[in-house]
Amino acid sequence: MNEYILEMDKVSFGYRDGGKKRMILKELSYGFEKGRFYTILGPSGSGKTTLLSMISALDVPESGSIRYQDKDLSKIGYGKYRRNHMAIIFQKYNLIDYLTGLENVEANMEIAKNKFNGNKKEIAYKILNTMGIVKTKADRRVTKLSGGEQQRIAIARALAKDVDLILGDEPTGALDTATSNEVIDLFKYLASEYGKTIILVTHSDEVAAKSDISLRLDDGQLRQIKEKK
Amino acid sequence: MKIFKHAVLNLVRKPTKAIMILVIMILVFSLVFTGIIIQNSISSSRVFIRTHLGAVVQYEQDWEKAMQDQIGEDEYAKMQISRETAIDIGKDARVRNTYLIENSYAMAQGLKSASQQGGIIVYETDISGEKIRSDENEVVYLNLSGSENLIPIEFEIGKLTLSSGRYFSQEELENGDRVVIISEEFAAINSLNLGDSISLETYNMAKMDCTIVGIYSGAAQFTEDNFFTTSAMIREINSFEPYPMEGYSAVYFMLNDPLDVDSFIADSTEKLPSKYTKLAANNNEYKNLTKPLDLMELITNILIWVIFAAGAMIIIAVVTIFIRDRKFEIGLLLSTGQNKLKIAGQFIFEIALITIIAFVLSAGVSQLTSGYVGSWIAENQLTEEKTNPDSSQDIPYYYDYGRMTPELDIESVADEFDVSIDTGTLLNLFLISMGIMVIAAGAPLFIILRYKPREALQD
Ligand SMILES: Nc1ncnc2c1ncn2[C@@H]1O[C@H](COP(=O)(O)OP(=O)(O)OP(=O)(O)O)[C@@H](O)[C@H]1O
Ligand SMILES: [Mg+2]
Repeated sequence: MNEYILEMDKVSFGYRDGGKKRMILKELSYGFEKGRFYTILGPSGSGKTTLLSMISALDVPESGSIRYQDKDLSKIGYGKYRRNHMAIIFQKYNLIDYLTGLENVEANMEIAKNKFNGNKKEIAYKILNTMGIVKTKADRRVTKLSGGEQQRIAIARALAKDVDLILGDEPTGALDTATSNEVIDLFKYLASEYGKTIILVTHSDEVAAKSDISLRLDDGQLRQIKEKK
Repeated sequence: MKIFKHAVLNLVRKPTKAIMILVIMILVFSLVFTGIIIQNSISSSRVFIRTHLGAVVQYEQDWEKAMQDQIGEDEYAKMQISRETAIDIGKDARVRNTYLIENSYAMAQGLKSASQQGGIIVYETDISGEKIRSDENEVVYLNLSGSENLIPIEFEIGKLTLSSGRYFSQEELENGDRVVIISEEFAAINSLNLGDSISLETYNMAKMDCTIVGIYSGAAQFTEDNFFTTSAMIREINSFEPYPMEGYSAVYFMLNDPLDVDSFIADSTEKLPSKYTKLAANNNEYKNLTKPLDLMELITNILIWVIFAAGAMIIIAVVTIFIRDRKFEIGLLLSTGQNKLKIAGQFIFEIALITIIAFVLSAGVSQLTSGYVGSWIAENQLTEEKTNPDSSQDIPYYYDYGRMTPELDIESVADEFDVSIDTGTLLNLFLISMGIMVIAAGAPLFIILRYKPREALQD
C-alpha cells in the first residue's frame, strides 16, 4: 500500500490534428497524496485541461495507467469512478441551462453513492450560500445569472458531492480577487480539515502560492515546483 | 437524477424546439390518421354493401354463351343442376338453407287476373281454330312456385310477407297436399278468403281443388298472379305436361353470413356441373357499388404511405437534431457519472411526452377533418355515380323477378358512409407513433452516449 490516492503511471495522450498526431501528455508519471491541495500551472495549450480529463476519467489514456486508491480506473469502471469518487469544476462553468442553481446542485447530490445526511434541499441552499449565492439567486434559472455567479454555482455543485477528490479547471477564473480568495481558502480548509484531495488548474501565482504543492505542466511532463511543508 | 422532473422542466422552460417537433408530429399524424379513418370507412362501406346485398347465392346458367359456343345436347343436359349436386353444395357449413324451386302454371276458370297484363280473355281454340270453350269465360293463367322449404325464400328474405294465414306444414310438403298461398291483390279482386277453395286446371284439364292457407303482400307489379305451393304438387302438375320443364327453375343457397358470399362461391364453383353455369350473388351490383370505393381506397392508400414515409423521415430528422443539440448536456451528465440509461430515459421521456400530446391532438384533429372529408366523399364521390347511366336502373322487371336481394343504391351507401375510428386502430396507431419516436430518439442517443464525456463536452 502506498500513500497516493491517485497515481499516474507513464500516461500518454495526444490529439489527431489535421491527419497527424500531436502528443500532449508524454509518459507522464505523478502521484497525488491524500488530503493535500495541489495547483497545476502551465502555459495556455500545454495540456492542463487534457490532463484533468485523464484524472477525471472523461477520457482514457492511450498508454499508461491511472490508479485511484491503488486500483486501476478501468477496473473500478470509469462511470462508477466519476459517480462516486470525484467531482469536477470545468473551465467553462458547465451548468444545465434549463435548471436553476439549486436544481443543478441537487442533481449532482443524488448521483454519488455517499450522500450527505439531512434534508437535501437545505444542504444545497447552505452550500450555495457558502458560495455567496443567496436563495433568490439559487432559485433562478442559471442562464439569468452573471458569469461569476454561474461559476460559484458550478463550485457548489462539485462540493455537493461527498467525494475525496475535487478537480477544478481554473475554478476562480471568473471571480474577483476577494471572492476568489474566499473560495481558495475554502478549498484549503476542505483539504486540511476533511482530508480531501484538491487539484486545481490555475494561471494565477497567488492561487498557486496558497496551495500545498505547485506543479508545472511543460512539454507533456509534470514537474513539482514548490512544496509547503 | 429526477429524470421525469428534469424532462418536464426542460420542455416547459425551453419549449421552442419541443413545439417545433409537436407541430410537425401533429401534421404528419393527422394526415395519416385521416387517411386511415377514411380507409376504415371504405371497408365498412364494403361490409355494409355486402351485408345489404344479402346472403343469397344463386345458381345461374349462361344460356347465351352456351348457344354461342354451340354446345351439344349432353352439355345442355349437364347445365341442369342435379338434386344431389345442389344438396352437396348446400352441405357447406356456411349455408343455412338450400332452396330448390320448381315452377309450373295452371289455369283457373271464372277468376280475374290481379296483374295489369292479366285480365285478358283467353280463348282456347282447337287445331281448326274453333273455340273449344263455349262459355267464353275469363281464364286466368297462374304462375305456381313450388317450395320444398317450410318458408319459401321470398318470405325468408322479406321480399314478400305473409299478411294472413300460415306457411306450409312439413306434412303438406311431404304429401304434396293441395294448398296455396295467394297474393292480397288476387284475393281482393276475386273476393277470396283463407280456407276458400280454388279449382286449378292443368294442361290436360284435370281439375285440382286447392285450399288457400295463406295470403301474402308485397307482390311486385305483374307478379300478383303468382301462387306459392308445395314442390310435390308442382311435380304432380308437371307430370301431365307433354314437355315438362326439366330441372329446377331456380336454385338458391342462403348463407348465414353475407360476408361469406365470396369465399363460398370460390370454394363451391368446382362442384358445379358445367362451365356454362355459375354461382352468383349480385356480384355485378356489388362491383358497381364498390367501384367508387376502390379508386378512393387506392388513392388514400398511396397517400397514407407517402405521408407516412416522408413524415417518419422528417420526424426522425427533427428529433435527431433535438437530441444532437444537447450533446453538451449529455457530456456534462456523463462527467458527473450519471447512469447512461437514466440519461437516455430522460430524453426518451421528453420525446414520448411530445408524441403523446401530438397523438391526442391529432386524433382529435383527424376526427374533425375526416368528418369533412367523409361527407365530401359521400356527397360528391359516391352520389356522382348515379348521374351516370346505371345498369341497375334499367333492369327489366322479369330479371328482377328472380332476384333474391333487396334493392340497394349508391345513395344508401353514401348515407351509411360513416367516418369513425375504433379503439383497436387507435391503439395500433399509437404503438406505431411510439415506435417511430423510439427509433428517432434512440439512434442519436445511442451514438452520443458512446462518446467519451470529454468528446461530448468539447462539442
Ligand atoms: N479535441 C481536440 N482535438 C485536437 N486538438 C485539441 C483538442 N482539444 C485540445 N486540443 C489541443 O491540445 C492542446 C492542449 O489543450 P488543453 O485544452 O489541454 O490546453 P490547456 O493547457 O488547458 O490550455 P488553456 O490554459 O488555454 O486552457 C491545445 O493545443 C489544444 O489546441
Ligand atoms: Mg484549459
